Amino acid sequence: MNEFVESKVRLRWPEELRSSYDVVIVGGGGHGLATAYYLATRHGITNVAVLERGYIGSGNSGRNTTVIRANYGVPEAVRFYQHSLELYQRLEDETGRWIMHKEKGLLWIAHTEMGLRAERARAALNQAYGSDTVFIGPEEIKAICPQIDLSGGGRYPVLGASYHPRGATARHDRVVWSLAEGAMRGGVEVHQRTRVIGLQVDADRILGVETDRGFIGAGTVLLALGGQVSTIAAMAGLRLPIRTHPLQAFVTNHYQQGLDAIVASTELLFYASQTARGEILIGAEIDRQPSYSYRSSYGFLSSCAGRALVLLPFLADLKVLRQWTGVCDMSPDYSPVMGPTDVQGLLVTTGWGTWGFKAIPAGGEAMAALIATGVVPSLIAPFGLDRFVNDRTLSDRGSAGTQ
Amino acid sequence: MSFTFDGRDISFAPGDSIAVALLRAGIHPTGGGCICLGGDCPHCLVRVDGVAYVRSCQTTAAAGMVVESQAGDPPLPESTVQAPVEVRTVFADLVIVGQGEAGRRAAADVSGEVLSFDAGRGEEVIGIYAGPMVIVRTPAGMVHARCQRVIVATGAAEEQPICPGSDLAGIFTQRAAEKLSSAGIDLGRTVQLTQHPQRFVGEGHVTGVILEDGSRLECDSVIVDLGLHPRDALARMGEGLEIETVGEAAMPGELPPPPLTGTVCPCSKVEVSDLDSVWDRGFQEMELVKRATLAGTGTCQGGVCLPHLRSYLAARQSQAPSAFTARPVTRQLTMSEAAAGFDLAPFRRTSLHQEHLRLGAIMDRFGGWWRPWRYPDVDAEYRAVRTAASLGDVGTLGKMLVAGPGAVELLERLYPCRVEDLKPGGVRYALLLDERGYVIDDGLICRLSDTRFFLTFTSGGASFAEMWVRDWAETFGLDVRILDRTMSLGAINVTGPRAKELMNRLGVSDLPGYLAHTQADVAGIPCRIIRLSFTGEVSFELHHPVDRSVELWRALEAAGSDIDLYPHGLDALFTLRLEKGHFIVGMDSEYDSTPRRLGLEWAARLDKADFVGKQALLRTNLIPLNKRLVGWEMDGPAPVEGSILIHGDAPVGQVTSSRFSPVLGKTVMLGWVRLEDDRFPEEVQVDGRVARHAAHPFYDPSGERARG
Amino acid sequence: MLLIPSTTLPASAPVVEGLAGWRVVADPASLDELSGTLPVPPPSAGRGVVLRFAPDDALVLGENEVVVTDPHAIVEPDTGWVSIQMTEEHALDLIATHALWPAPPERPVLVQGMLAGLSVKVYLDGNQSMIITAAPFGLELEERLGT
Repeated sequence: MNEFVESKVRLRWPEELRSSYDVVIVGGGGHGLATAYYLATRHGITNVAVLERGYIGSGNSGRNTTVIRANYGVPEAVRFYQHSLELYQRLEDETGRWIMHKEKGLLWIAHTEMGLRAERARAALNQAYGSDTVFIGPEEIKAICPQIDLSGGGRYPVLGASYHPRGATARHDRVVWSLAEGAMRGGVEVHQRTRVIGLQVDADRILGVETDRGFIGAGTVLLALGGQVSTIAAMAGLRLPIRTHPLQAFVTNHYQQGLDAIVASTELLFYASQTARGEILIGAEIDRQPSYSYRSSYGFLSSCAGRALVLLPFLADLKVLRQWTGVCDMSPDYSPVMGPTDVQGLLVTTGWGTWGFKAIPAGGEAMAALIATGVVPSLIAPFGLDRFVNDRTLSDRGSAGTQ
Repeated sequence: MSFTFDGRDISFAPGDSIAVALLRAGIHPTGGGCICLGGDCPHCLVRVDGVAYVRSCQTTAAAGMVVESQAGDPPLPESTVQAPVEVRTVFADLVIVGQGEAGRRAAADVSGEVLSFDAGRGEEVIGIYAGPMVIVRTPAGMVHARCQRVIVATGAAEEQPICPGSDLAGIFTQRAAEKLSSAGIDLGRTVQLTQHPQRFVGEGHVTGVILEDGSRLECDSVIVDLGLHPRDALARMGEGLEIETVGEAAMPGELPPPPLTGTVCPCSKVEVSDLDSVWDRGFQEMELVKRATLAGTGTCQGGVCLPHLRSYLAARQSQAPSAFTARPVTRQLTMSEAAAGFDLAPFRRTSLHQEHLRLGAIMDRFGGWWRPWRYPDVDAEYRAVRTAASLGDVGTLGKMLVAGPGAVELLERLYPCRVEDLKPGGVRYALLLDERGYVIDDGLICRLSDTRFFLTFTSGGASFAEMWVRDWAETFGLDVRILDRTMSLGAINVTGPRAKELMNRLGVSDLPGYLAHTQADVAGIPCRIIRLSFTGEVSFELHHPVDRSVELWRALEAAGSDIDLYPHGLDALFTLRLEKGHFIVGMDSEYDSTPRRLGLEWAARLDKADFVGKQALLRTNLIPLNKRLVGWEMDGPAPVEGSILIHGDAPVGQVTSSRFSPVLGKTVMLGWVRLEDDRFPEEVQVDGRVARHAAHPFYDPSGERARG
Repeated sequence: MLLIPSTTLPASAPVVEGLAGWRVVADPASLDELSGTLPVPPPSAGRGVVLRFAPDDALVLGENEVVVTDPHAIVEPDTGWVSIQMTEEHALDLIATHALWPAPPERPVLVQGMLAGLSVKVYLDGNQSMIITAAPFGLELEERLGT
């Protein structure tokens, strides 16, 4: 047995699908399951079904690069992600399950005067809104991550960085399972292999969802799925400001621990960390071409490896083990979309782009509160769909870790 | 000929793989586990010349190699000297992967250009990607083969035994045993198995086998012939592409008996009991079992365990689960091999790059260009602009010619300012808006004739602007000709109170007035001279053919040698323009910066016919303003750009630009501030000090100096 | 087959040289006409060559004057390009090692695409060849195609 075999979580699957629930959550990923978890544990709402077309965590929840951080560039986002980061810090205690949460510190490296300026501004903004980010120089960077080539291959010199000491990673699957188990224990039903094929709406009110296993009535339906959210929302006549782009990543084989921090370059656009299992995990920006395809490309592997080696040349001889692809729902302002829609009873949590994993606890907690109370929690109020109508967008492209 | 293994000399025969040479010397490469010699299992992984996870059975031994055993996870290297990796892109009609019998037959049957690769020749196919594109690791470097069609003839892998003791040395697959025998290696007393035994017996090395019926056989080696499973990872990876799978790789493959005990996944050390444990707790999907145990996620990516996992699940479900998704890579490559052929984004150099270096400038990258950030005498840069004359390299500006009968209409519909009333010879500053009314760029419109215009854009926005203008011209269906001149024209900004004098000295007497332009020779070099001001002093932008830039720069330098002429870089320019309150797109503006938020309502003429962004402005202008970019000033040194504006105890905004102004003797800033009921605080704290709202321009508000 | 990528490039490091010509943006028909009057021998032969970048866009080398029938045409002297001249064999080798596309079989031919991560135009006439890029990329081209 390896030490990473999941040895505690117990998942209980219901046999039958009932004809109606108070709440139906479409999407058995982190956000859907977290919402179910908090509905059950904080609000006592348990007549809930989570519908998952594959297996739980099979979408982006099981494909992301597992970074938890709150070093965002707009106040509303800093507050939200900082809360999420803190919920993550307590999640193991709360669920009694090991999610391999580990604080590592996150380096966002700048290579130009303009890059320095942006990272100084990030540090100032983060501090003002309660997140711990500091601006540091090359020597401190070297002390945190001795493997970094400060000359950047002679081309991308390391001039400074914003350093986010609370930046962490956790095992994505275990986050999903812990939340699923907690929700199930509270009485929530999670149905795998159940595909939503329609949304039934009457006079601007949601009635329920059509699935490949039959119709399910629901007072509240939450769309918490990744990738196909615009096509599902369209079934209720909603047009979401979301475009879906593939996002790829790869891991190397397993090595002894040695890359302690999470390293990201704001100009080379890659980020690298070492998993608990010892793989070096490297990701980069989204594919430019919108697509729903899960096919990995060699162009990505090649360019991402090439860029990572500029700063981390010690990785040159590491063997690549596996690459994979997720599909990201990108909003126009690179911030998430959470809240009600024009269809009564139909809620969305989407636009999770490349930053969904780190938001799982806070997103789930807030959506659960919204479902339970009917009131949008102030933490997520700025992230509603109405911001695109009201000229209150939350542009945070510089924090997305992508372009 | 020999290599070393953990410091010990190992001699080898020509053509031996490392694994064969080690086995010949009586050494199991990893200490134990069934050897396949087919590249399918993790039981021969070693470190070769510092590179871990090398399949020693697929690697030809070479004299002088330093081979080390790899027990457990290898350490991360501390540093690595990256050897260049050769890479070649090749094109063919057909690529055949595998040159066993099926692969050779496929090759014989086809016409057109055919490329074939075979692991036996050291050509390891690491993946099939869209295209199709087949990536191959060869002894001579990486090969990227692009083709119309791929035939996968990768054969089959032999089943590995799953039972206690399977990690002993001395266990071989049938094919491995044949290879060893033909290499002249004696396996001693052997037992041949066609069914999984109860267990292997021995300490370190197998000494016996206990069969299913309990009987025990003594031996020196065990040869297992348990069945074949299609080596179909490439075929599965290529699903949906033009791929055909032939031979053993295409056979259905019978599931082995469900594993009962022992190690299922040797890479991740997953036991059957681990599968039981997670299965019993509800992990009852192939992917969930895999993710909960990590079975199949190690080096061989399911090569050994996948059939057994499927069999395990099949025994507990109504049907056998399909294999899990095959993801690249199937055979491993190093990161530097993966990076081979990738080129980093290029940086552009202006036509004056060498001049800046000659002058001792510190160069920085900005908007994709190398630009002088500072020259050695920083104070002189600023002083020259404000009191004498200075040169700035603005060749990076976006530059474009637009001509044709539709030119006026195109620009009227593209820009939020008026264009039609601009006279030939006139210059107008203009914002560029997107459909949402957000400022995406700014620059100048210079009218050359009734139907011809010269436009400038920001350095960083130039390539986007070209696309933008072309797209709209096409969308509007207008009859125009568009030529991007960004990289063909250099530009030098001659600025300062003595700029006119400098121009006169170079033979230009008829200088354009403020906001006008003219074509004239400067020091014999044809220039479009554009008169405006970003620095706040009299300024002439000289746009000229890039091949004459150095000549022009030097002529200007020489002409100004007696009047304290000194060039200025970006850093000084940022101070100079901030004193004038000029914002910079992307530095001071944000994604959602409307002209109203920037305090530039005058730049969008809502009374003119439609332009890109007008409808959005009409709509959003009705919404109360929530933030504005405004000017601030404070005593003492400039706080860090990005500092927070604090009012009371609450953050109310953020500084975008802040510089100490030598001429004003105080710090001037631009910063975003939140509005409530259309108001914002006049006084805030920045960096623990008081900053006051101040109207900008901070310097020469009437603009007399610039109009000179 | 065993593929042996080239490991050696010709000893002489490539050197970029400025190109001087006329840039013409005009309606496609008038550029067709221009191409008709200026056939395409190698530029080294001292006669004009029309490098057609797009249906409405061309760079004309080796001519003192360019006249097109389109009255709204933009005809401007253009020195914003640099080139590396080399044998065709050398150019084809660079394409095989630095490009993701195959060299087309036609001659003469102008191909446009990425080479060593730079946007280039390659002119092949069966004998000599030219790799052209915008002047600001000239040094990077030299560095990336050098040995």
